[in-house]
Amino acid sequence: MSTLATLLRRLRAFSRRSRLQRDLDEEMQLHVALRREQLQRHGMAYDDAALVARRRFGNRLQLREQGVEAWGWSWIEQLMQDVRFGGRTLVRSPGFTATIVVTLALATGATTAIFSIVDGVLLRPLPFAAPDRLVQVYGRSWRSDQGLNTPDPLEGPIAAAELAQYASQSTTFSSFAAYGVGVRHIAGSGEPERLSAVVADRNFFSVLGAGALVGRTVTVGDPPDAAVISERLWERRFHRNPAIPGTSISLDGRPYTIVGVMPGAFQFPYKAASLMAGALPESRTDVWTIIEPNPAIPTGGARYSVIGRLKPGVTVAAGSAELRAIAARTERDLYQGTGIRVGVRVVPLTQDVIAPIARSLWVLFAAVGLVLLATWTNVANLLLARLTIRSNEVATRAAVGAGSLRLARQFVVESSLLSTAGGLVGIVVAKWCLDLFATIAAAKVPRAHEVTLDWQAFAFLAAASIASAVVFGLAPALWAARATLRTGGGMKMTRGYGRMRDALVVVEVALAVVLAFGAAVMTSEVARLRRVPLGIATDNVITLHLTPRTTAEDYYAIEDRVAQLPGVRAAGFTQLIPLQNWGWEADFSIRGRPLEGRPIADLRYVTPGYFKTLGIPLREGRTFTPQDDASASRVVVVNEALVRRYLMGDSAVGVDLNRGTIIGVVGDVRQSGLNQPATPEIFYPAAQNVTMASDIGMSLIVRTAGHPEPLVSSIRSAVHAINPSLAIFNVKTMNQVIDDSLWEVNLYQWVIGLFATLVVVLAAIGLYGVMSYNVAARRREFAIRLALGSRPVRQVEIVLRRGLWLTAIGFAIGALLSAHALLSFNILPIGRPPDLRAFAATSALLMLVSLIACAVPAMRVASVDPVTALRDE
Amino acid sequence: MPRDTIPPGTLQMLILRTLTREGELHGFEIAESIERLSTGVLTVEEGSLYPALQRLLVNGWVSAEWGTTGGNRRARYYQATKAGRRQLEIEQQQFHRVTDAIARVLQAV
Repeated sequence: MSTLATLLRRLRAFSRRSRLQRDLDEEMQLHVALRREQLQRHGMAYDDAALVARRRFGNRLQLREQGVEAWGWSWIEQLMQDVRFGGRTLVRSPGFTATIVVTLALATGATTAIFSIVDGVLLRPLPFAAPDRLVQVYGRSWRSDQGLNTPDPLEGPIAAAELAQYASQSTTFSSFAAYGVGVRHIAGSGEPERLSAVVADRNFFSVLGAGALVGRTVTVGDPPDAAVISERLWERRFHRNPAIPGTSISLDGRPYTIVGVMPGAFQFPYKAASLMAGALPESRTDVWTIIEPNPAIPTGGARYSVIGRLKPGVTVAAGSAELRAIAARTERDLYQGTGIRVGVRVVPLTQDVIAPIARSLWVLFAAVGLVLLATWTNVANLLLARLTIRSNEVATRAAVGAGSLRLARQFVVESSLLSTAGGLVGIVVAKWCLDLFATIAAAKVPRAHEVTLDWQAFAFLAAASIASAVVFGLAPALWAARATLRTGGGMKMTRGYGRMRDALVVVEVALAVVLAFGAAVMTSEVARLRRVPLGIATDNVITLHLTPRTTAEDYYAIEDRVAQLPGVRAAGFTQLIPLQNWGWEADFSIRGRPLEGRPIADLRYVTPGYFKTLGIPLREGRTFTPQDDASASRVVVVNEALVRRYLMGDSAVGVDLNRGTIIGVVGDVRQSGLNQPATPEIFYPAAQNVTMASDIGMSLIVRTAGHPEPLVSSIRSAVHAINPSLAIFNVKTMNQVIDDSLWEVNLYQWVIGLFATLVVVLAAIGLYGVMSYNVAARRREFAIRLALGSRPVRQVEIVLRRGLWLTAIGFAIGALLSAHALLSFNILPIGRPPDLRAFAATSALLMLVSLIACAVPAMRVASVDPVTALRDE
Repeated sequence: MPRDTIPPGTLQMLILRTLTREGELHGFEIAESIERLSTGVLTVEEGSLYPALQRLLVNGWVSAEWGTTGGNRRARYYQATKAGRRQLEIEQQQFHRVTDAIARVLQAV
């Protein structure tokens, strides 16, 4: 028998099932008529014949029913009845239904949103051709040359000369492409605008295997003025004009010819913004141009980030080993006698892109999963609670012949209706969460723009909804199926039922404890980082980024003019604001004092007012004055970390570096992050070195007497009075800069805190519900106890003890789980072991909440009036 | 006249057998035919013929078509399909195995 053919026959019959009944009726009628006629022919009277014929045939209605049932879809009709009945039941208690649908929608929607993010960012392959063959190639960072006993991080860019060696000698790679991130200013029709730009080798797009939306990408034969723009720029400035290829644009005053437009989904490098936080808030690139060789840069040429494409079938390990061998040869032959060392590290591109964010996203996914679990538990609990009310209905239905399966199915149908409604509203919630994600995380999370609510997300949502229907529909269904085995009025809540609810509450409490502890850990981590001394004044300080680069005279004049504004204490420029970026490392040497290894420091370009503005203390000597200009002798200021590490704590003033004479020493500032110690730094006066600052411009820092925000407009006019072509953006107080630097821990704190609050509320509701039920169920017992002389306080104690037991069990499980997650798996991004006081405070809070949730129903026992209670029964 | 009802489970086989022997029949004719061939010993519980026919239709062992009787009345005529003949084959063999076994048990001394 072919199952498929049978199924098709069944379906065809279902589509015309009313005709099937008519047909059956007709043929059975004919049968009875023929039989009657036959009997009449044998001499029977009409009436007798009709009676006998009918009797011989049997119960026609029942037989017709059996005939229809043979097709096996009576269950569909019963299901429709169940759905209608379930719908009516749910609509009759709108408060109950709404509560469940809303909690489900929130939990399912949030989980779906985070699933979409995990899927779009972590799980899906990068949107390039054969992405598993793409790698990021890192060169030696100079840290290892400091003679320190630390492993070589190999996280830096690669010099052009080294890349040329790899490209010409490698047999495992099919190609390499170098690129760098920067800004360009576009002029021409429309407002002048600052663009986020990438310079790249001509084969950049072909290495990635990315094609243009309009026109073509840059290719190997292109002249140096070829440029590719983004779809967003095409739309913004060229109104999607299809004739864009061949158009000339002016970038930083130089003409370029657009050859093509990249589709909106394309973005490389990812994290373009985080490479230049503060100076470059956009996460998306607007324009790609071609790298031009710069012969002015000695030893090896400019350094760029590099991607490579492995030949098919070559493993990353094999490619990596070959490049290491080439690097060793390059160091030996090309850089002989210079002391420059070459190293290389190959990382699969996918891993390079997603590794920094993977843990955050998985932890968020786990946290939201716990919320979903708690929600299911709570809904199951609510549904079970409602059974106390519905036990009479169930008993009646069982009494009139509903089978236990049918009754169980009724509950599954109802929970399916609830979870479907929750899922549908959940789509809206998910959409809303993702919009929120797009605004807050666009610049922080790579691939954020690739996250959408697509079919995978909907499949996930559907699966979650089905799972929820099963999880919380099953408990009442099982109970109903069992209860009906003992039909006949006596539909008492069984012991097992009570235990099931107890277990659900324990689970809820445990989940609440896990999330609350997580939130407590993150809160104490944020508090700890906030207390870390940064080394600068942070109150009443505002920062503004000015672009494009202008002359040192302009910067000094702006500093003077802003410093004289009423309400301003001090003003100064720096290229990189603390906590936004760590800057550029460079080597230096001390005249007459050879050091082992190669001393390294971060270079900073500042104006004289910088130190005073940020309140960075002067430890020795002096800071810059306007007289330290291009005509004066080269001077530098260094920080204490440099003195400690390279001058062995000696007096530094007067020491000659190859980069200038030290005139002063200032206090340490945590430049690269609150959890990173200060590194050696060399400060240059901008007047002597402005050309060395890159084209990203400089940041103006202003300290004011009161709140700085009202002064922003007068600062703007002061800037424009000196140089009207300067654009001002990224206006932030120093405290906002600190907050931004903590975005990841803050994100954890807020999201986990939000989830924890939600789950604690759910657990409290669950606990309250169970305790209320217990009190109601044992009302008669308590009445008897009271009547026999037991004191009300004693009754309250009995109830309370039970509730607190449940809480304690949940607490113990939750605490064990969180300890395991925190200590064994080190799941949260914290720099120090968490503060025990945070746990104590959280535990106390949770205990208080549970106590209240238990105590309110328990108090009701005290008010039981024995007479009324006993008479009720 | 003593009348025996058809052993449970064999109605389907009898219907198929009747239809393979006689071609197209409507329900009443099937019932009559079974009764006549069993020389009146077996009587079809007439009504139950129709759910049984529906089950045969579901399995694709018979096909049905509306036609007119000799008396010029609308009736549904059933016909065994190829799958139905195969099924009859299987059920007959099974039936013989079982009855032979039963007979052997009864005849054992």
